[in-house]
Amino acid sequence: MKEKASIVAFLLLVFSAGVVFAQSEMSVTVQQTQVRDRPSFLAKSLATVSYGDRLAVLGSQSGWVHVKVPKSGTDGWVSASALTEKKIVFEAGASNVDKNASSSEVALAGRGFNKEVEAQYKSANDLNYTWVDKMQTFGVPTKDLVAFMDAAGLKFGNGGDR
Amino acid sequence: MSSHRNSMRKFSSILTIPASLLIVIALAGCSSLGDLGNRLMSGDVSADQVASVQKSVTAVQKSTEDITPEQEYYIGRAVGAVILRQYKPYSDPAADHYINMIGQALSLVSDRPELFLGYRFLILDSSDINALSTPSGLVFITRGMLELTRNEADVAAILAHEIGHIEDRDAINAIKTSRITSALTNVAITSAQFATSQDIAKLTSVFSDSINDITQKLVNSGYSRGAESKADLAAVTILERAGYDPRALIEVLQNMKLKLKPGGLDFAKTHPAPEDRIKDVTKDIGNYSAPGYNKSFTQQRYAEAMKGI
Repeated sequence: MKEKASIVAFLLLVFSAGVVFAQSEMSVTVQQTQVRDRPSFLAKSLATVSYGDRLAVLGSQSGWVHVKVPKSGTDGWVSASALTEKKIVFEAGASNVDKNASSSEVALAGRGFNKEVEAQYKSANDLNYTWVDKMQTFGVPTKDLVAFMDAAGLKFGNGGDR
Repeated sequence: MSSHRNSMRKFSSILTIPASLLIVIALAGCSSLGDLGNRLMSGDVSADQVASVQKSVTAVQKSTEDITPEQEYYIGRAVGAVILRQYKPYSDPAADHYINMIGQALSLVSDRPELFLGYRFLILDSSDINALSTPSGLVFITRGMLELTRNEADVAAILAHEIGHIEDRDAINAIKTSRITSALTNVAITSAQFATSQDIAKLTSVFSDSINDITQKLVNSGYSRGAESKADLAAVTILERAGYDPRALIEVLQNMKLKLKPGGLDFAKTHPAPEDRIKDVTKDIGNYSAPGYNKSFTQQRYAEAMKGI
């Protein structure tokens, strides 16, 4: 019985060590996002991270990941929706892809459907991107969104903390 | 509710690679290498290059899951441009700003608050009853659809349903897996540093086919009943989290039922019948007590913003 328990304990240890190892780093999947001082969109921004940046994972909590920015050492919270466990490889040069690509990586960035492909597609189909570009400028700062909700007594909760 | 759905999916995916997926990877890897085989035969590439590309392709090939956020962004822009060829923007800055306030606030309480370049909303000048969302977060809503609304919560219900489709990556999942296989082969070719303008042209053709897969679903066949039902459930969740009355979704569907014209090229064609959706949504909502937000205040700003619609 004791033996069985210790085997289970050992397996659990190995499994959890594996989990920690697998999640030790994550990549940023959005063009830019904030590392915040609490797990909330209302929280103060401590640093800005960009697409493809690798962040060390310290923990997680309902939709948020506690990370450390390797370069500056800043630690804080990033929305889980802005992160992937995959590695985003930018310069997909032969040696790079050859050495680094594995099943858990995204090795397409910059070399797949990109600006060049968009330009060809646009001209081949005689498409007008004016309004698509204009829409991109419709972004509203988070503080204004919060004020919009607050003014009507709508729940913004803690801003993404669920 | 599915509050932690996204993060859980992210965390669990690395831990489990089902055998079936591995088989798919292997099979896809084989088929996509056919073209390389031909190029090898024609002396276009060396055997070493094929070996290196084979390694890359089998390593990265999976499914639409492997479309990067940046590529999703380019796909979304193209789908947006195609939609805007069919529909003209209504071009009412105050109304557009209002729906962006609602939509972007809702996105922050959704299961996928952040996208490559965020959620953006635009009103289209059409009496069709339609709302469409692209993979990258561009959401379009017609005047005809807005005419079904009576208050801010109704507008929120429609936008929340579209956010639900984006959460579930329904548009990206409409792309046939064979396209991704093909794209990845091309990418691998590029990465092995013998890209030609032909490769770019081929990649553009795959891109074009992918956009067609999506617009075909958006404009013609519609998503599956299951996908619509999930988007409705997501809408209920999002509305509740934001503090809007989720029964607004039922209200909009009831109005839709009265206004949809049989044979119409809008929601009449691409969505399940409103009465079927109402049944499901009623179940999703279950017991619910009315929220205490300031309805007269929202009614005022709704009326002000929608006066031109």
